[in-house]
Amino acid sequence: MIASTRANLITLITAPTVWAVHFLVCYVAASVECAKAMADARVFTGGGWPDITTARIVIAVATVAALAAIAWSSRQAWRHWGDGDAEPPYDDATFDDRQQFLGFATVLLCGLSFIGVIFVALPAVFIGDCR
Amino acid sequence: MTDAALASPQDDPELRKAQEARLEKVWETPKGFRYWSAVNNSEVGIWYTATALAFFLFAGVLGLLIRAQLAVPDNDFLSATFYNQVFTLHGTAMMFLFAIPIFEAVAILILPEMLGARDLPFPRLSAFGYWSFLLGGVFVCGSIFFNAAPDSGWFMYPPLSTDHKQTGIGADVWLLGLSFIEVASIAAAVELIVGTLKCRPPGMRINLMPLYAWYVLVVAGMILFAFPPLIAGDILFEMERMFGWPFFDPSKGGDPLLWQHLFWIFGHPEVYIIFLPAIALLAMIVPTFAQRPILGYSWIVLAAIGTGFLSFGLWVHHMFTTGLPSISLAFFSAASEAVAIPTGVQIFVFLATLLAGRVIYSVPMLYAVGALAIFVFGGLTGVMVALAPFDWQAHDSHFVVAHLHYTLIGGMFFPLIAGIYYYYPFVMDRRLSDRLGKIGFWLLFVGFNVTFLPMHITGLRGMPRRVFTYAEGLGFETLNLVSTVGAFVFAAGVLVVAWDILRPKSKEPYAPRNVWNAGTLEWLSENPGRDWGVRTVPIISTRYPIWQQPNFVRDYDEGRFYLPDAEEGKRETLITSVLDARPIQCLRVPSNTFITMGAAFLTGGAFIAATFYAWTLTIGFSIAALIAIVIWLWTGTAIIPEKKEKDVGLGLKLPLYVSGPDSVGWWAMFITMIGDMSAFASLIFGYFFYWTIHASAFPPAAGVGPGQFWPAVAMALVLASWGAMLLARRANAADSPGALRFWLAGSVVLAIGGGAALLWGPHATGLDPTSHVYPATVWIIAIWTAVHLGVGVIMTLYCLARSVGRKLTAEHDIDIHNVVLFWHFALITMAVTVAVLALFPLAVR
Repeated sequence: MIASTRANLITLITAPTVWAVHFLVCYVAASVECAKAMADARVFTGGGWPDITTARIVIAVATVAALAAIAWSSRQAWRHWGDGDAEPPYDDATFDDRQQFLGFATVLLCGLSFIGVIFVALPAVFIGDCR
Repeated sequence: MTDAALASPQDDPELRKAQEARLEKVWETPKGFRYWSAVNNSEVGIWYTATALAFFLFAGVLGLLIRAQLAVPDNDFLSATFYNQVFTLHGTAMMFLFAIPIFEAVAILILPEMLGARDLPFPRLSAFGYWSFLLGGVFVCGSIFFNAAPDSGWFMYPPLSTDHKQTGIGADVWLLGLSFIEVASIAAAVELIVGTLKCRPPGMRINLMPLYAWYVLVVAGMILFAFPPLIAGDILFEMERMFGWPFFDPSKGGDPLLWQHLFWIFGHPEVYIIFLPAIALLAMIVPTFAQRPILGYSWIVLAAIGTGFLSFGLWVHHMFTTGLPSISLAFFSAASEAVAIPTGVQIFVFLATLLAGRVIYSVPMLYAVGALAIFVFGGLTGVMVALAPFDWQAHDSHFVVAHLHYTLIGGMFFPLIAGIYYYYPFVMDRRLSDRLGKIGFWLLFVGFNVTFLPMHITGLRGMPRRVFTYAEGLGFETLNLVSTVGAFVFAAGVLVVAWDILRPKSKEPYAPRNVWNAGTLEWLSENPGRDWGVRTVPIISTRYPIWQQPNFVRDYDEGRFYLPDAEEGKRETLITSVLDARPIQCLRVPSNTFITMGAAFLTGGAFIAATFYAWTLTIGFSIAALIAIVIWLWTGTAIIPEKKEKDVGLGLKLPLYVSGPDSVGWWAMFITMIGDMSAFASLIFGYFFYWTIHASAFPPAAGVGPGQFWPAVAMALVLASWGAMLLARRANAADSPGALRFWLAGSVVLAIGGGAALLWGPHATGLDPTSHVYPATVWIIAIWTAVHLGVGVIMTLYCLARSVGRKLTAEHDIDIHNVVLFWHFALITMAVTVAVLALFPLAVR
């Protein structure tokens, strides 16, 4: 259903859904690692802040996977967008207009989701521990 | 369409007159006392809107009380405890009783006619939602007159609010009164999603849908994922308050932070649930007054969907000062900045449309422009507080109060008033006054800025929120006095607008039809309005049919499209396919009844009785409500039509009865269960939340319940019960009622056994839910699932009764399809429950 020659409401929200999953993975990975580390040995004992190497690796992998998925979705959407003779703003009552409208809107959402994934991944580049 | 319609029976004016008379009769608004039995979207929509506006006025008075108290230092106008009730109820009523319901109200009012539909698919559900909202709202607001209002802030943070010594019954009023309203909101969301996807006029493909409908779709979808976490949180909260289950009590392993998570997973998307429908009104108003189609339709769709998704990644920005690790805060900070992108896109699309068109200056446009100015300012301070270090300074200060009022009043209140001035002639047949509108605007705009602009500085100087007074000499006096003066100017503006809406207008002329020369379908309505909603369900081939389709209004008036008649004296509308709006069914929608009002009041009675811990009464009301709902379903749903097909006009014959994924009921069940699953996911989130914060106590060492045996038995029984339902559906399809009833009965027995085994596990292993958060969490998840099995059993018994009553047959099988769909979800719930409660402890030990 997601890989489809026809654009539909599922293909439309694929990229933002990927963003949401990526967001959850980042958040869960970092907070579980920190919560576990802090529950075992609270920092006030004088040791340093526990680091989050595992979470950063998970986030890096998730980010690459999410960006790849969004790129894949946008490639498909790009094809839908070019699939027909309709003209912008795609407001005629034809199959082509519907297909190209959905393709274009999906491309836009892919762009937003791509930026969103990078935004959300950036903290893991700069922050290395649980402070 | 004119070609096809050339030699049509609609050429006969006598016939048209007879058709109109029949339509009038079928859709007639009931008179006298029976008026209140109406379920049609126009009546329910007006009641809903009026009630939400009344709650706005009430909450506004509370706002004035706050400002009066803060006008001068060391004021004793309100006592500290009463002030707590006032600001809590101000926020609560504004959010839950005004801002969210007004979205549902306005959508119920205008969406059907915007889609050329005679009504939404489940009118009685809308009416049920309205009566629930009215009762719940009056209950919550009324509490303040008994000095019993909630008083711990609109977000009810524990441990303050779970402490019976510090908070009285107000916390229970909040939890139960609002849970009741949230259920009604979810019902409205289901109604609106199905309405948008399935009730569009033939030809209105997804790329031709009015932008308002896009926003409704997105917002209703957001409600499905945002409200259930709060309902789950409310359940945990009430269990702690009523029975001492220590979900938020750190001394027994609980954590107040879980409530904050669940509240804000609801609370932040909720801001956008409020904002997007108001922006949707602007998306209708701006093209009309620019007299051109919207520029960048696809970009608006991007913005609506993008905002809808991103808004779920912002919730922790309300929790920046709770001591979470910086990395966690940074994710939410990043997402909070990202959401500015789609939000900004909408603003630029409106500006571009205005620049490209010839703008007609009018009162709705005045409010629209004021909205953009205020909202942009609030958006910019939003970007500031989304930065964690800045937020640490501004948190809980009046800076945040100023910020949130700029976003909500600019993003929601002003667009709403623009919408009221715009749509008033559509709803009430007459125009509002331009003069009063302008006076009101300037009072509101100036009053608003005088109130809230200085408040940024008050906050930066250090004045905290929710504190009932302040000492002299801290630099707060002048700023607060200015804010208070502004608030009363704002209130004067509200009064002017309210007077304009309420003043008698029966001597004024009707507004001309399509008074603003708009292009969308709702403006086909005549003044005075007709009860039928639409004369005929039109065929659509453009985004602005009144502007762009030749002879459209004439063909419409002459009934030259679908369903121009009501031969059988039934209320009917068309159901179409999701993407292309191909007609697939002629849906008979139910008519007026008091049963929905009765069901709503009985359900409300159960919630209200629970507030007073009156358990016998609660159980009595619950049983009565269940009976009322069953009567409602039995008499009003899945009605077997007198014939299979109906000629809906233009030579098209459509079925009157469809089941499974083609039917609106199946969609409603599916969408409801998505919401149900997000509540369940929130409970599971709670389980894993406790797991992350405990080193070893959650789940505890081996030997503590619920063990593996009883959950495994429960799983096997429920799996068998689900299998029996599949066999029952197959037996029904094979037209063998005996086998159908056998499998239904078998499923009931197995499900009861499964539920009992699931509850027996924690009971047999001696888990005491008041002793620690682990047994409490196990119990609450097990009870949740058992309750779902119980609901499944009731549905299965209902099918059994329908079969015996010959209302469920091989040909007429809506009920069994919908109930099997419920069982799919029940099975998933059960499988997750067993995996978490029985298997996860094994995996981590």
